Amino acid sequence: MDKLSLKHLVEKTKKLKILYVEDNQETRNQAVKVFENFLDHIDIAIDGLDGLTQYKQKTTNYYDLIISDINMPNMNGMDMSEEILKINNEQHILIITAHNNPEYLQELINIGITNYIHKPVRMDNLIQAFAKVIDIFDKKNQANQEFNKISKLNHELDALVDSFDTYVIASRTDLKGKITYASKAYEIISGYKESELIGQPHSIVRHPDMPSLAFKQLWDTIKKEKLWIGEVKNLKKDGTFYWVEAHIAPYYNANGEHIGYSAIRLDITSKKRAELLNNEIINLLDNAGQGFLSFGKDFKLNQGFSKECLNIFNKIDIFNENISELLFFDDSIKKDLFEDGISRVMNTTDDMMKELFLSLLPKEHIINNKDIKIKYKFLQNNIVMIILTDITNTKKLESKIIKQNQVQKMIVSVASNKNDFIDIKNEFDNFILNIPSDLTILKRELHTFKGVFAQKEMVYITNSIHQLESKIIDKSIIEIKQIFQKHNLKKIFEKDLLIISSILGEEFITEDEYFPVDINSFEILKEKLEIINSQLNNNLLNDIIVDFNKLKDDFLYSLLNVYPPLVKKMALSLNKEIYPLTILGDKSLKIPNKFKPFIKSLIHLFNNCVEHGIETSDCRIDSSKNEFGTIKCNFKKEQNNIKIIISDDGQGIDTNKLLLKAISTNTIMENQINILSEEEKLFLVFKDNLSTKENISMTSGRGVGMSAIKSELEKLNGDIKINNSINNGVEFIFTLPINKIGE
Amino acid sequence: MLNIMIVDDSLIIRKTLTTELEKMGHNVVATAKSGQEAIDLYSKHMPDLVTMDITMPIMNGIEALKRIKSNYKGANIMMITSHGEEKLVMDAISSGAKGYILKPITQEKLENVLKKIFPQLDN
Repeated sequence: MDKLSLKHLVEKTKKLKILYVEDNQETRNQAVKVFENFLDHIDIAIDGLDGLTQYKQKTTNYYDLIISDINMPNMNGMDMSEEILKINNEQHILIITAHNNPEYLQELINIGITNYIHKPVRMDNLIQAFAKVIDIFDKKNQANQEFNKISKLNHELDALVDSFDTYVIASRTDLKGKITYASKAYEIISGYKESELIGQPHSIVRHPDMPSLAFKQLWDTIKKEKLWIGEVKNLKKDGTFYWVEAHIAPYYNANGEHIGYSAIRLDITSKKRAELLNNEIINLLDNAGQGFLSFGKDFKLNQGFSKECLNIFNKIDIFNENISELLFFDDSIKKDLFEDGISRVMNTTDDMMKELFLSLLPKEHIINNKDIKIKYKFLQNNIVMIILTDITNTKKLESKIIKQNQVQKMIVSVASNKNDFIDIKNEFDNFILNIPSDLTILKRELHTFKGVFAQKEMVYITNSIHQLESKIIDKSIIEIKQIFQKHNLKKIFEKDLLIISSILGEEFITEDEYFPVDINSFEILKEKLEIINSQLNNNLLNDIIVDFNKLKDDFLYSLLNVYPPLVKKMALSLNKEIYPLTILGDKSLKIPNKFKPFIKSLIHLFNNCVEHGIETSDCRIDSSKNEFGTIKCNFKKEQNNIKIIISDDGQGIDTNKLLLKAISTNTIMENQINILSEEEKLFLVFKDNLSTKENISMTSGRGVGMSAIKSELEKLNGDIKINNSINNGVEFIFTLPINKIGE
Repeated sequence: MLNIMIVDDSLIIRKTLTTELEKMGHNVVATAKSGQEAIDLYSKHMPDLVTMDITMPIMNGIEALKRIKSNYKGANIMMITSHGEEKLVMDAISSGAKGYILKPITQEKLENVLKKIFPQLDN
């Protein structure tokens, strides 16, 4: 034996526990000395009886090896060995003997002795003997480990089979489909006992809902010894049903013979239920004609949206798309609001806050030219549902009604005063053809037209002039003429005219036999007609006189009476609270035709009263005034003059502001201020470019309106007086001479 | 009946709110014209509810809300807002506002918000 093997051997023998039995002390001492090279644990017994006693005191497997002499007093080695082997027949015993007789030695082996060594003990014999013992031990250990492994595997297999039986819905049939095995799980799901199933055909659980074609396919497949997988609705013993996903495969015995079929199944009843419910819901949603969709924290669309969504977004699929992008890609403000709001909803657990955030999200949006109403609903698990409704038709109807109302207003306004309308039309046509070269006059006239058209409820042209005014603010006359050309006022005006002519007839606007007739000639002509009529009493002539009378409506009252609805409208648009404007004066008072431009220019004064004169309700309450403002318009005839008095109870004119503005626009020089009387200061309101209001509104504030009044008044040799009282209002008194009629 | 403080720089809104709230049987205990004034008056009156305008000079409604909330966690504050202020309203709600009304103010809107903030109120 080489050194290395010896070393390995000693390593192993050192671990052994040994009982050494020897009666001769000298032999014992010598042997122990030798043994100590190999052994660390040696107990000594002085004869067989002592050895047996010591052996019994220890646990059965305590000693790995017993080394014993044979010839000993009290009890010899053979007897002791026999006794020990009775206790533990696997005990290893090594006998040291002087015998050489093979029969004797064979007997030793026969009674169960592991090995023997001849006396005197020689080292090489001893090593050989130990090696043999260790070899036995090694083999035994290995076998033990093997056994442990197998028993563990067996245990696992048992558990597996057990759980297979409990949890897997499994069955086997013979080649004809008769059940030969059914697991516990199968019993539970089908409601049948295994004993009720064995020997039965598998069709015992067939549900009438299953098409027979499905089973034909199944048999076709498995008869070819192929695997069949499919969803099957099965009939339970109690008449109810369950759904399984079945995997059916051919089954072979240990010899590889095809003896039947084996099936395992997954219970998919709840999955099927959810699927059916989902289908039902989606079906419902699809038929509702509304877009239903949902998304999570990542804003990505979930599967399961209604068909209408695809119509609304005009897409083939929207799954996984970003909802915010889908809805608001063309409106960054709404998109931002939506994303911010949804994130806030997702990041709070407070239901009330969620509801508040959702209520602030965009409620309507135009998607692919369709007006879409958007409703939001928070579901659990951070999912938000959106309901989209196409309200295009509702909206169209609404705007149609609004438009119709607007048209109706325009028609009523135009038709109720045809002369006036034709007048304006001709003036405006002329204006467009011959745009004034003086910038101030141009702006002033344009502004007056806007006021007049607004009064006539002609929306297209009014809005268009408003846009034009904004475009030409700081432009030179050359630039303005170019802008005019591009803007094409005529075309826009024709749009309004087209609506009017489509309703009132082509004649209404093409009738251009209109020319100014002075009031006296008119009266004379009328009187003459009436005289003829009284003599002839002709029906036709009678009608002519009625028509004739209609041509003339230059009663001051009716000319001024166009302003009350205008003031009301202005007040509404500026959010001012104003009592209805009343016109007070003799309703039969007639005025010369040439007064008309002046009366029309008064629109600027009324605008000014509403916008700059009357304060907001807040201000009025703060100054302990009536919350509602009052604007009055009175007129009367005094000798050869007509007086028109227009007043308001607003804040009055702030002459200091007027002065500052006048200086800043170079209307007056700073050194002129001290020369100006209070009245002269007030008259600055009639200067061009002098509005004290910073904002330019649709109706006033461009500083050209008021000057129009003054220039019209001057044409009539009229006069103005202004009574101004800060915080109490302002009163304009216009005096118009009528003595030089026909001038 | 609730004790209510109205915070708004507009007199007309203050008046409208006072009238409507009193009609509903509530008690307007204080009115403030600015956020700063609101903070001072809150600790003095400890109202059950504050109506808070969002855009006010000196100190806006959201700042005032935050300051009141930092001292009085349980303060009930609702915002008075206009169209286009949705983001600000969201900020206010994140900072603890309990509700909001979009102008113009109507009794119906007020009733709905109050019912949500004070579910225990029976009308």
